[in-house]
Amino acid sequence: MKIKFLKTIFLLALSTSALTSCVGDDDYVIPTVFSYAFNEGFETSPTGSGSVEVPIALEGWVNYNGSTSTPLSTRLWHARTFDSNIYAEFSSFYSTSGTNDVAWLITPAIDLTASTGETLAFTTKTRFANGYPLTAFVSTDYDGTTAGIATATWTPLTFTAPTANDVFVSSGNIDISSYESNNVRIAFKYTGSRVGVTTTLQLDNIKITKN
Amino acid sequence: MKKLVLSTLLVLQAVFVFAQQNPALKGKVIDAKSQKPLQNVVATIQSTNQSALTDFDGNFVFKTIPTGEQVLVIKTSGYTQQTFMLEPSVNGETLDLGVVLLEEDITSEQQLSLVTITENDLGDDNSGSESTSGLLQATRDTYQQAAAFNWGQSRFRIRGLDNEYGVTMINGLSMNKLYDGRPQWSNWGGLNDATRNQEFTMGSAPSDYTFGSALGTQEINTRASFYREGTRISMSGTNTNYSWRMMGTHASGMNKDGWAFVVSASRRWAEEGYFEGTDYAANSLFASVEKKINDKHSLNLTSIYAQNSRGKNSPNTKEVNDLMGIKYNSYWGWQDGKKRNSRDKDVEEPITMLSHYWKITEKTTLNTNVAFQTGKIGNSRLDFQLGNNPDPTYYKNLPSYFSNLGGYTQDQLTQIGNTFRSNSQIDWNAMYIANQNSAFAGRSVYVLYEDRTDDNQLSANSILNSSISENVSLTAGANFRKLRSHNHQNLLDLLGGQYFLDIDPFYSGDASQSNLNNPNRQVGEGDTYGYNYLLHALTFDGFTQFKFTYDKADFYLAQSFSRTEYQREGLYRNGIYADNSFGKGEKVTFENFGFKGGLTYKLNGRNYLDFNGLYQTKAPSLRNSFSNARMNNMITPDLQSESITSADASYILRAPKFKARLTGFYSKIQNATEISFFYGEGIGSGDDGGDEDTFVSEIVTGIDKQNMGAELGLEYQITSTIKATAAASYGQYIYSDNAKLKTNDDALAAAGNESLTDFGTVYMKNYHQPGMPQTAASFGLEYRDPHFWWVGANVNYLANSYIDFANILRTDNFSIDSNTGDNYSGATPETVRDILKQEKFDSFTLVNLTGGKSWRISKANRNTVGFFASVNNVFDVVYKTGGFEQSRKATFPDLQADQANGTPSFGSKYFYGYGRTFFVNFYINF
Repeated sequence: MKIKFLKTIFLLALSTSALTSCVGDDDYVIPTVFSYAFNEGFETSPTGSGSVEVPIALEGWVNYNGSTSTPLSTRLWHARTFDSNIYAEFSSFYSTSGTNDVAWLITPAIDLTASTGETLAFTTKTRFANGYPLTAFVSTDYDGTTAGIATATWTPLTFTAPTANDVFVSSGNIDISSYESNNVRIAFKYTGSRVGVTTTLQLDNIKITKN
Repeated sequence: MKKLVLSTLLVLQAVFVFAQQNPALKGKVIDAKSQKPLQNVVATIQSTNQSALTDFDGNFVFKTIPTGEQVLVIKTSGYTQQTFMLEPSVNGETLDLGVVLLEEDITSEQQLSLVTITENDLGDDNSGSESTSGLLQATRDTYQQAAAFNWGQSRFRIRGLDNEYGVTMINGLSMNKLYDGRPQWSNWGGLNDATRNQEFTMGSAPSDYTFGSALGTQEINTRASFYREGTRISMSGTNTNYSWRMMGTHASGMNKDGWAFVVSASRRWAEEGYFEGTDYAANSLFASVEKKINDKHSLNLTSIYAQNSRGKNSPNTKEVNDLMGIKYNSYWGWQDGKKRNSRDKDVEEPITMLSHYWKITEKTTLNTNVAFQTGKIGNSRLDFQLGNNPDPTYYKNLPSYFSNLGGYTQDQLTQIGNTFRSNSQIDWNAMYIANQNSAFAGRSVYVLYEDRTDDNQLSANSILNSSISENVSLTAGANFRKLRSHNHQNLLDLLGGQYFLDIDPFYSGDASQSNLNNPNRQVGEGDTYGYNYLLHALTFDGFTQFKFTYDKADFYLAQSFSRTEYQREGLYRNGIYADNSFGKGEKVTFENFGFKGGLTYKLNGRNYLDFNGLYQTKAPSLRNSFSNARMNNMITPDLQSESITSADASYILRAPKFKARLTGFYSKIQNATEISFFYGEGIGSGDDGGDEDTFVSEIVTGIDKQNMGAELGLEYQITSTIKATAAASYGQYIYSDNAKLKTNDDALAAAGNESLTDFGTVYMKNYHQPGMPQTAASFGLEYRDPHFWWVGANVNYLANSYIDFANILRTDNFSIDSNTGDNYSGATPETVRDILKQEKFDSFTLVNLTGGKSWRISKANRNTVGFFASVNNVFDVVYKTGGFEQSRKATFPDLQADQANGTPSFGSKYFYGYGRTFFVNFYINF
């Protein structure tokens, strides 16, 4: 009787341990592949050159100059290409004297409710810098209209800015995982004027990675 | 008497006898068939290694035996061994076993048919190492027999462990090579009769000769007096790796003056084995002489000379196999009306061994062996400078290359396929012509060379066995090995030219020089060139093992310590590595230890529970300690000892008609190192998509493997003549964690840069360990007629075998573009996962038939003639035994582009198993 019991216990333990901790054929790991909740490199935007400026007009984006001067500045973020890379650019250098620029470039609504660990990163480059013109914000209550820019809550983002001209510098990883909303918007605001800050600011590779 | 007759049917049984002093144990052994006494049969008390031989009248005597329950094994070659449980009583009468009948083991013929799968190569890395399946032959365990005879042909490995985790010994001296930790089976190949006295242990169970490791041990005993007197001649025909074999063995038995000798010789040959162009020639000689000096001392001298030369078989891509069939071999070509193989393997490493057996007291024996092994291993290959690649399957010769270029019609591709078909073999003639028309008069463009290893190894050991007390026995051993291994490139054939230039034309200036101390050398046949270095190894290890034997339980504890020292000594000053290639390099030393223990709990005489556990650390092999040994003295970066943890638990049933064993096992190997060599594209330098891409060595460290599963063996004697056996193994052998990868790139070093590139993590967790079926099952029936003939059939199912995946493809280099720091275009978790999925081979079922008969040709003696025949894979099932991914397309876009139209230029290469094969053996014993 005791033998039977010991035998049974032994066989049970053996089959249990064999059946648990099994690894399936699809459980293998893979090398790093970033997945993006949002990824825009402006590679599809038509570009201008010289004095021809083709404004960024991507689906869902808001490209608006909230100029407060009289006359208003109507210039917008526009796409340019260099070294077969396309990026968004703004500079007050070509704006009319006496105007100011408050140029907003705002992403479409991004849904971060289904993912976790979201991190924002983008790259910026300056040329002919005479002051740093860019600020970046995040919002969850912006309605997508130009009028709504003024009433939405914009939380400023801290990022790394270039310290030298002519080289793209990464913003660093900005943790935005606390924004559990389906209406997350990232905004880039260029503030300058013909007689003030005229730095050429180039913006590229806006990415939100997720787990 | 009735009981003893019955006992011959059983492998293990208890004998209850009342015993007393002097002598302690005796018995008489006779042949069950002829009823004649058997002389020189070996009786061994297992835990102590004490043994006695039967005299002319078949009697054996032990003056003393250790107290406590003991296991007595009575065996001689050609007979089924008998095992007795001795349960001596206290009052100490002589334990008399009476008459022990030994039955001729007709199934032992089966051993001779074992296809030497071990002699095939797994990869094309030319390492010279033998792939596995060993540790399998000649055991009595149902499961192990299935693994050897039925699953061995499909490269099944017990517990998924490589041979380097087992120990193969001759007279207690390890035959595992220091170079790669694996035994070189060819060193005693073809000497089946002479190496038939074997003992096995499974897993980490205790051996009387060594500490061992996680797989088990195999001990071959060549002591001359242990061979059964007689002569045996056999002749075999088969269609596996050879066609014919002749073998003769004679054993004298111990004469009155205390001399015994055994000689054996065999020859195996084939003009062409199963695969095209695989020629085979092997000659083996064996001699063992023993002199019994007195009751306490015996000396034995063993010499083994086995010479083996065979043509290798190429692994092929699916594209090539589809065009040419699975027997296709790209390594050979016609020359003067004969098939000449460009990739021969030659092994010739004779062993001489002197053994001393000393019976210090009745309870203590000391066995000391000294061995010297010398000789050479050569693997031949074609070399060429400034000429086209002579490999007929070179990727630019195949339809896939043109298909991937684009712009070719299906008809044109078919035509390219036809052109390949009519030029599918090595063109020796074209190479002779190219050498005659060389741009530099007399300088060969093509030559045949061999990668040579000339080893000299001195080994010595001492093993002490002693019964310390009633219930305790001790085994202690010490081993010493010193190796000098000369590795070099040896020019075999100038193929009609007058000289070859010892440079690497891929580089220029100093970097092109193999040896700056003797630059731009013109070399002829028999000259060393290219690389030339010595490897020195010195190892010492010792172990102790205590066994405790009680009524209800037996248990043991063992511990080991070892010290290993390796050093490379360059004989050339290589132009790329002028500073660290010539002279002696740094010594690398490892100190390792191990502990193991186990318990057998006897529920009763028929039911047992058995547990074993092991923890040990193991020095990396010599091969893996120098990451670029051909070029420089560099020690593998991040080199560490492996650690091995293993445990198993078994339930064993031994009833008269029914025997069963069920075992669960687990092993974990951590910090393993693997080095391999390949041509890569998209990995650092030279990544221009050109065809002469960089040659790199890949160093993978921190590899963790986990093997767990269960094995089952059942044997049921349905009637006295019909026996059913069933065996199964269900395992899961995976990489249990990610590893680290670095490459060493000579092209980087030649350009004055750091040669090592760190690729970071290899994402290999939960990939399967490759190249073996992880699931196997077998069912067999055997009929043994009382008139000495028998037939058997078995059916086997083998599944869950996986491809050897390319490590470099599993690093971030594959998916992340280093220029942008972002995913390559098109690389998403889904596409990357899809393209990196490990290929699983189709499962298959093999049916084997065996049979044999023997006749007694004289009433006066034991002379017999007989035959044994088998047909393996009766239904000619086509199956893959292994394969590997090529590493050449090392980034996602490159690999995707290569695979885009379904015919990759660098697709995986495969090995196939034998189709239907037969084996017939005729023998005479007298």
